[in-house]
Amino acid sequence: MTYRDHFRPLDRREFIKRAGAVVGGAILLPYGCSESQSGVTDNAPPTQYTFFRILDSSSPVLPKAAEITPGIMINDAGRILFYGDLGGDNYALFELFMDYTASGPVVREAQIVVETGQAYDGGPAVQRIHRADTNGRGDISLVLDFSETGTGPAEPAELPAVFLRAENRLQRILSFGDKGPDGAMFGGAFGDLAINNDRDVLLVSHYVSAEKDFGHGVFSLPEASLTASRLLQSSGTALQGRNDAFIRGFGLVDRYGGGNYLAQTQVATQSPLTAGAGGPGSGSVGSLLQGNVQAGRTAAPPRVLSAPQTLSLESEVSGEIIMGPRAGADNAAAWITHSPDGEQQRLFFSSNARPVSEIANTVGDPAIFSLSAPVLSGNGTLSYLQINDDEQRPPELKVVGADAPVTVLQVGDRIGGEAITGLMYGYHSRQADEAGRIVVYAEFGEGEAAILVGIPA
Amino acid sequence: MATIQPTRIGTAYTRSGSTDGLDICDGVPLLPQIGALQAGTSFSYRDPVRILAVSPKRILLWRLSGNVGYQLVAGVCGPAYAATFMVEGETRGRDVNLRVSQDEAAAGVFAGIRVDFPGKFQVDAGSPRWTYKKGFYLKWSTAFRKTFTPSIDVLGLLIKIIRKLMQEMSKNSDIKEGEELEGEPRENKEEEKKPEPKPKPSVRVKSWGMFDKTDNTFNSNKGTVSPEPTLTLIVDLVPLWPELVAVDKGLKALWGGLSLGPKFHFIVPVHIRFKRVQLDEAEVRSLEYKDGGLTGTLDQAVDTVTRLQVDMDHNPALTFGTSFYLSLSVCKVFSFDPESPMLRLDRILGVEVSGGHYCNGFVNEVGVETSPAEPLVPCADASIAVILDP
Repeated sequence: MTYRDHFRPLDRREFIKRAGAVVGGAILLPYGCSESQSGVTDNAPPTQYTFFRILDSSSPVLPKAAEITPGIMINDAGRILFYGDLGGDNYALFELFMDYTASGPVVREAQIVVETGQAYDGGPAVQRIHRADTNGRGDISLVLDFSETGTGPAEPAELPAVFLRAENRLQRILSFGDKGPDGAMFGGAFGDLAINNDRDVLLVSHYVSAEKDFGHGVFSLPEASLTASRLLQSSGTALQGRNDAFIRGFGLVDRYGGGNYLAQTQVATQSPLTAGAGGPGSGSVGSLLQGNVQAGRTAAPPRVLSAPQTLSLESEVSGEIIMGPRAGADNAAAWITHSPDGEQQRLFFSSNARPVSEIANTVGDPAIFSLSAPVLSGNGTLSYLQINDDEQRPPELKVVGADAPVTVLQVGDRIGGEAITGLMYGYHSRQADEAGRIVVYAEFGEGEAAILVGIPA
Repeated sequence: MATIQPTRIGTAYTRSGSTDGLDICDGVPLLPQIGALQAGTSFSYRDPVRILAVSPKRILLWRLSGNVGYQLVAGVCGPAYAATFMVEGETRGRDVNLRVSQDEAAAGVFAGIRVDFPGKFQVDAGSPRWTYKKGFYLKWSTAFRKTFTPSIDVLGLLIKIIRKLMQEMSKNSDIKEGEELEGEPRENKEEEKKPEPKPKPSVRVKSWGMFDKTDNTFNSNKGTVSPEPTLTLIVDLVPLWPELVAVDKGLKALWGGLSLGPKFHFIVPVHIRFKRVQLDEAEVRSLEYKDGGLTGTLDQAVDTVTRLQVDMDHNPALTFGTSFYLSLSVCKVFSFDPESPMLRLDRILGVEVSGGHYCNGFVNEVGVETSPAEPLVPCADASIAVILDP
């Protein structure tokens, strides 16, 4: 196969592959598929991990045939979740019940958590599964949107809403118009969300404040309830007391136990409430705030982990944040910054025990084409995919422990006798569990998708 | 002594039939100078600033750029309020005692906004390339470029929303799904006749926040009802563009999505109070709320009462504006949500509301519990403190 073969008109699979580069270049072309490159052979563990191919799209354990996508999660309840393409523009969130007691991980059972086109509890049919996250208890928080049943405006039940799947029951926890903290009313456009082991949900949402100001905020919903909900960050807030650095909105969020949370934040030089037609447009694409929220405590001003140099904020590092920030134990944070032209990527990590340090970058090594969004596991392991701009160096999955990054898997490695032809990683923050197991999207042959589980040695 | 049988006072209200409940579009203008359904203007806005970061070549294989301006032709249904009260009581000599119950009040506004999008929107696809000379690089090619001037009649859509809302607000509604309401908003009829674009834009946030309605708060608020409608209405225009639908579908496969369009923001707090009561030709003076009712003194004694007039004072505020948003996300990897600054439509319409008081007189025959037959009558001593700057 030549490179030219890859540039024929896009079919769906190729679209995914190419668009996969949107998510950090985590797209791999099937080059360099040779066993000798990594020295990994059948069932032979990589340097620190042993990888198992646990599921293919055609696996009979699935209740419905589905094409596996890179949206994969793993939790400490022994389950793996993935976003599957059912065809016909329908998708489902699948839940795999894993058995790790055997010689290798095995999928014992699978079920569908939620599926587009299906109605639940007599409500309208799910139209889109916007977001989802899982925690160590096996809970799942979701933002769902629903199909409209009539020709007129939607019924309230048809508006997007936030759900919790706990104890195998899907329940609505937040809807448009619900009253939140301090009299705020939630809008019906929900953004990203995250859930931790305490079942505390972190949610990005539009809202109208009791003072009747419109805002975009990051909310904390302890125990997935509005009862003690708090507005942690809000648009219009001046950062670091500056009158030329206002929060305009939020992108991705992540949270972990102990109140540690991260929020990708757009910052503009003018308040969104006062800016006129001549004001800034999109503002800065991305700064990164780290905050801490604990019950009964006043939230301290957020720490600015990263901000574009043009804002002149006091931040740990300079650079725009575009890809997903990750929160971990011990106030850990991992993120990638980009130079304004996007040419340079830098992967940073910090925690209570470790000051901000640069793990990898595309600056010092011109052979590195791109880095994927990172993944943090509960045991402190940081992993990411490194895409190399070199035919002789296939893309490789790196794991960072206490030492320098180590390649644990790469394109061309053989699993079950078949060579990996593509890897995608870092699509979701929950791709590693507390035990350090990681889940990876891999392709074999001519693009047969599979889920791999890596077990640390 | 005269007895005042339960009498309904307020704007059009029906407990049966097709106009069940309150109808803001037939309500009292919050801003008499503008009137309801009479404000309109057009303006254009062009945002020269990028709507999304461009050229992060090592990251994106899709990039979106544009110079997406938009023109709005804005009209307003409302701002108006609708209110109804049941009033009963009696006179003893010149003393008057009135009891108010079954109060319902709603207030709101919706902008009839036709959105035109002159400008350019472009999606570039990056292809990874490799040559011996240059090595590995990305070549950008335009996957989609649209110079578009679609005219989207959001007004028709919003009118449906408001009418649907009115149905929902009436708990005892007899209206069947899809049934037309009587009393079409006056200026909306023409708009309604226009064919709707197919497919229509998807309104992600609909009606509930557009209006606020209060029930039985008159007495708990010591003689004041205060609906405070607020809304952020988000319109997703992606369904209108097949090319963008394709992008959205592609992103959906990656557990993401694309949406863009205008957002409309409305805030219309209003406080409604009884200002003056007249029983036939006798005026109740020194009207005050006391002990769960209204008391006052007649300027002349009456033996019977056949006509009840209540002048209601309201003081509104008004803020509404629009902004343009774009939301592009993929799973937990990235989420771009740039948004233009909010344009204050109230300012563009030349209306600056700094508070103020307006008065309208509501009349009904004593003992009539249905919608008043008589139209509004002028109030005495109406003071106006609204600044209009057309």
